[in-house]
Amino acid sequence: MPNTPITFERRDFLRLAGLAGAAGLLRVPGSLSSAFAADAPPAAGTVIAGKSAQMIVHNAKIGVMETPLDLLRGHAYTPKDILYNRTHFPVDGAGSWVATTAAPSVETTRDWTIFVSGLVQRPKTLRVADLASMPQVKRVSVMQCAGNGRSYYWAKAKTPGSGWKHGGMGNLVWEGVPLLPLIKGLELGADERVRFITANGKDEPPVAGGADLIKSIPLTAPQLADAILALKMNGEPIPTIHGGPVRLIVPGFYGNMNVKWLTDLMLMDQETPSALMQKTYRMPHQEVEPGKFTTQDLTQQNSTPTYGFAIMSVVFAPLAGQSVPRGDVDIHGVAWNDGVVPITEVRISLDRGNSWQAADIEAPDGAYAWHTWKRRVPLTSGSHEVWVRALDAWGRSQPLDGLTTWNPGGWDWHGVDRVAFTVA
Amino acid sequence: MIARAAFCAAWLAASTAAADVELPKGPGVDVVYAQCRTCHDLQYVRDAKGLLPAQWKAVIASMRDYGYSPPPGVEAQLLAYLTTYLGPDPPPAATAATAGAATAAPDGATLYASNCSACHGPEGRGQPGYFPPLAGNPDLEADRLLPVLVVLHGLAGPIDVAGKHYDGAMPPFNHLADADIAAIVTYVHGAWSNKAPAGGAVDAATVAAQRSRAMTPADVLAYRSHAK
Repeated sequence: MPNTPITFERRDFLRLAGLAGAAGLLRVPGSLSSAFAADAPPAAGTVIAGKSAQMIVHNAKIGVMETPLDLLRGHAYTPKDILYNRTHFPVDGAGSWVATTAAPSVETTRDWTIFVSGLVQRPKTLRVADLASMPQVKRVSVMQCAGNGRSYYWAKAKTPGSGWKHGGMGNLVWEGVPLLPLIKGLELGADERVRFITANGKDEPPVAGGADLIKSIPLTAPQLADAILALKMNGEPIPTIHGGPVRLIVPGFYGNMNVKWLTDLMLMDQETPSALMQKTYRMPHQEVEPGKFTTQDLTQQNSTPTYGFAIMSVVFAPLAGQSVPRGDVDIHGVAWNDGVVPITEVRISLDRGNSWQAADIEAPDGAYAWHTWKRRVPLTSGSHEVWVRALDAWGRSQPLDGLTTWNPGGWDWHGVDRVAFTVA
Repeated sequence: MIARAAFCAAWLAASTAAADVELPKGPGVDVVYAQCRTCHDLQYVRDAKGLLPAQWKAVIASMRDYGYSPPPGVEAQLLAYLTTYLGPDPPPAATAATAGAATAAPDGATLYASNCSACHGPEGRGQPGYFPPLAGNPDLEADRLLPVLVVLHGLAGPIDVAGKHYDGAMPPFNHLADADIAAIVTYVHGAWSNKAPAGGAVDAATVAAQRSRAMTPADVLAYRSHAK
C-alpha cells in the first residue's frame, strides 16, 4: 500500500463541520430511553482520566465509552480526549494503571518487554528502546469497535453488549515499526507450520482461570503487510488507555485485533483457544434467527472472527433530528473499508433509495483512513432523509437494510446510514 | 509515587462512587448484584433488557466461557430473575407474596451464601490474589464498623490480608436492607474461627447509621488504614 504523506491541514473538512455544528439540541437515532434512566453512569473523566465529560459511558467498570457524533466529526484525526474506548477487563483495582489518557511512565516504558516466541527455534525479547531505534513509519487508520452500530440491530432483536451508535470509532495517525520485516529480521527460525501471529497484552482477567484477551491473525491477511508495532498515536506516545507503550496496529482490522499493551507475539500453527477468540467476536456465515441461534452456537466452522472492517459510511452532517437553514445543504461524512482494495464511490439518496447521486470523495490519507465525502444539494423546506452507501473496487457495498446481518453478538453493523432532518 | 497513589485514589473515589446501577426489584435481584459485578458493572445487564430466554441462557453460558463458575443452583436463580424482569415483556407488579418474602427474619448464613460466597467462598477462604478471605481476617476483629462500611459502600484499592496482596474493587451492596446487612456481618463475625470484635453486636440500627455516611470505596480504604 502506498504510504501517502500526512497532511494535518484539513481546512475544508473543519469548515464544513463548523457550519453544520451550529444547531441546537440534536437528537441521535436509536437513543436508548430507558425506564431506568434515573441513575446515569459516572462522568467519563472520572472513569478514564483525561476523557471528555461528553463521552457516552456504556460500562464504567471496564471503561467502555463512545464519542457523540457532533464531537467526532470535528476532527480529521480523533484526539485522545474524545476517542472511544473499549477495554475487556476492569479499569479499577489492579487494572487502574490503564485508566488514563496520559502515556505510561518513563519507568514503565523503559522496562516494557515484548517476548517473540511460538513455533520458533530462537525466541527473542524486544524492548521499547529497540523498537524506537528502528526506522519508523506512519499509518493512518480507522480504529473501530466490532460492536460499533450494535444498537441499530436492536430494531430487529436485542443482543447483549454495549449499545454503540456510530461513535465507537476514530481516525488515528499511528507511528511505529513495520511488523513483518521486524519479525523476519529477528531471525527466529520459524517452523514451516506457522499459520498465525498470536498477540497478547498485559491486561488480565479479574478472576482466576478467566479468559484472556488473546488474538490470532492469519498470516494470509493482506493487511499484515501494513501492520506495525506502534509507539505513537497522533504524534505522541500512545495514551495508556489506548494501549501504550506498544500497541499492535493491524490497519483495516477491528479494534479487538489491534492488541493493546503488547507483551507477547507468538508464531503458531493454530489459533489461540481463548474464549475471547473462539466464542465471541464472531459472525455466523448465514442469516440466523434471534433466539434460535445464539452465541453458544458459534463454531470455527460456521462463523468468521471480526477481522477486517465491512465497508461502511456514516453521515456526519446533518445530524439526526437537526434543522438546517433553507437553501443548499452541505451533506458530508466519512467512509472506510478494510483497505484491501480502494473505495470507488460514495453515493447519497434523498428519496429513500429510489435514486442516488455520487458524492465527492476527498483524497484519503491512505487506504485505511477515513475517506471524507461531501455533496451540496438544494432542498426544499420540510422533512428530509439522507441515505449514504459506499462501494469499493471489488463491488463490496452495504445492505440497504442493515438488519439483514443481525447476528447474536451484534457485530459488524454496516447497513446504509439513514439520517432524518428538516430544512427550515 | 505517592502523588500517583493519591491521584489513583481520587479518581477511584469519583469513579466507583456513582457506579451502582439500579435494576428492577424482584426475587433474585440480590443474586444478580452478588454474581454479576466482578468483571463489569450492571449497566451491561440493564442495557440488555429485552433478551429472549434462550439469549439470557447463552449470556450465562458465555460468562462461564470467560471464567465464571456459579455455585450450585445460582444459575437457575439468575435466569429466573433475568428472564422475568429483563426480558421483552414488562416485569410483573410486586405481589403480596414477594413483599412478604422480603420481610421474613433474615438468616445470616443464608444471606452470606447468596450474596458473598461467590467471591469470598462458602468457607470464607476467598481467592488468593483476587478476593480476600473473611475467615481469620484480622480486619474483622480490629474494628466493629469496618465490615458494615465495606458492605454498604464498597472497598477499592490495594490491601494486604494475612500476608497476601489484593488490588480489587468490591462494589457497594447498599441494595441490601439494614437488617440483612446486620445479619451477614454478625454471621461473619462468629463464623469459622472468627472472634467478634469489642463494642457489642451489629444490629439494623448500626447499619442504618453508617448508611447515611457519604463514603466512596476509596474512603472506606482510608478508614481501614486508620483502623489498623
